[in-house]
Amino acid sequence: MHLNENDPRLQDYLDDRLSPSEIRAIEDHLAACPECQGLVHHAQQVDAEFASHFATITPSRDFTARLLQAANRVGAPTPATETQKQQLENEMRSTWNAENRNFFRSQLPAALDWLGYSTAAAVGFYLLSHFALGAFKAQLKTALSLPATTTLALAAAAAALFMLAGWAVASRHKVARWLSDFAP
Amino acid sequence: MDQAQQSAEDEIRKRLAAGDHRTAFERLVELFSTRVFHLAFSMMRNETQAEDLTQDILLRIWKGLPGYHGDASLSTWIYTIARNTCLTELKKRSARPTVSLHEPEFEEGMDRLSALQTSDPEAGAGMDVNLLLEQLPEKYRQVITLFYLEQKSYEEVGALLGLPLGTVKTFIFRARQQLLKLSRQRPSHSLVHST
Repeated sequence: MHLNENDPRLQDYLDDRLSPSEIRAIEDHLAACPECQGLVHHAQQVDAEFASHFATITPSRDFTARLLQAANRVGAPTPATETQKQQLENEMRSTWNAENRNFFRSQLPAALDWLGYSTAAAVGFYLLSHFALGAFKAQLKTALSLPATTTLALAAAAAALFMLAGWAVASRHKVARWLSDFAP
Repeated sequence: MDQAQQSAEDEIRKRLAAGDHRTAFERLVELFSTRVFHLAFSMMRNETQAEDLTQDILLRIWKGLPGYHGDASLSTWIYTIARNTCLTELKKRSARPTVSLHEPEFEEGMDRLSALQTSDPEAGAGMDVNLLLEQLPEKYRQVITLFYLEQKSYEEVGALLGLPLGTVKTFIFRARQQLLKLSRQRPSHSLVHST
């Protein structure tokens, strides 16, 4: 439970992103550990100092009024020419392509996690059906009438579907956002 | 994106579709100007320059409104224009010959300016934050600046910078890790207020 600067729980604790049980565990430890108490206190000071410093950084009070006056001086926007449209589209497309790549790249760790879990599930199912249930092997084989490779293939297919469903549910907000942003 | 923001964006889109550019722009300014300012500040690190750049960005958006067809979400469109404008401005500044940042008069001026930028009565505290930020790599400095400006919202930082959430979290974690180590190492970086 000892905390240090490299522990992600320290920052999560500062930001109140831990579960109630995790917070309790940390606070129980802090009650008994002066060293960690000192670290957390210092981290809270740094965090509060930064939050208060940046709270003073705002646009000036008359910013909006000056902006709208400038927009009046520019005049009402005219329909874009084909060249301007093409220029804007090219600029946006290169950014969208980069953000598309970022989106899929960001999903890769989650997808790999699910692939790992489902592979483990498929291997476990195979081992269970052929070793742990050895006593009932004869009856099972008769009842199912499936060769081992077919069993494994079915288990892998079920696990892959489960993986896809789990990823889609976990990422539904991102998928919805991606569809609204980039799908035609 | 929360429900309130989504419905505000939908309202702006409807106004644009109806050709009511002026009202749409006013709502857009209300909704996005502070975030665009935060993005500009995270890159320029000077309030006046950030404000000027924010005005340029929003005027560019004003002129480009007829070209927005709803292909991307409004926030994506706006933040993309904001990022590109900021990057173009940074490139222009790096190409221009500048006063040396290490001239004593310049450093003294910057010290006074940084002290004035904080409302903390003990100006030394505000200066300490800037000194700590100076020690960070640029990408961490930008992300951590936006993190505090955006009330610690990873999602908003990611949307403004066009970065995946995982990358934002990693950068913020590493930046705060370094800030904590730096603030504990040297007395001059201490946040204990001197009298």
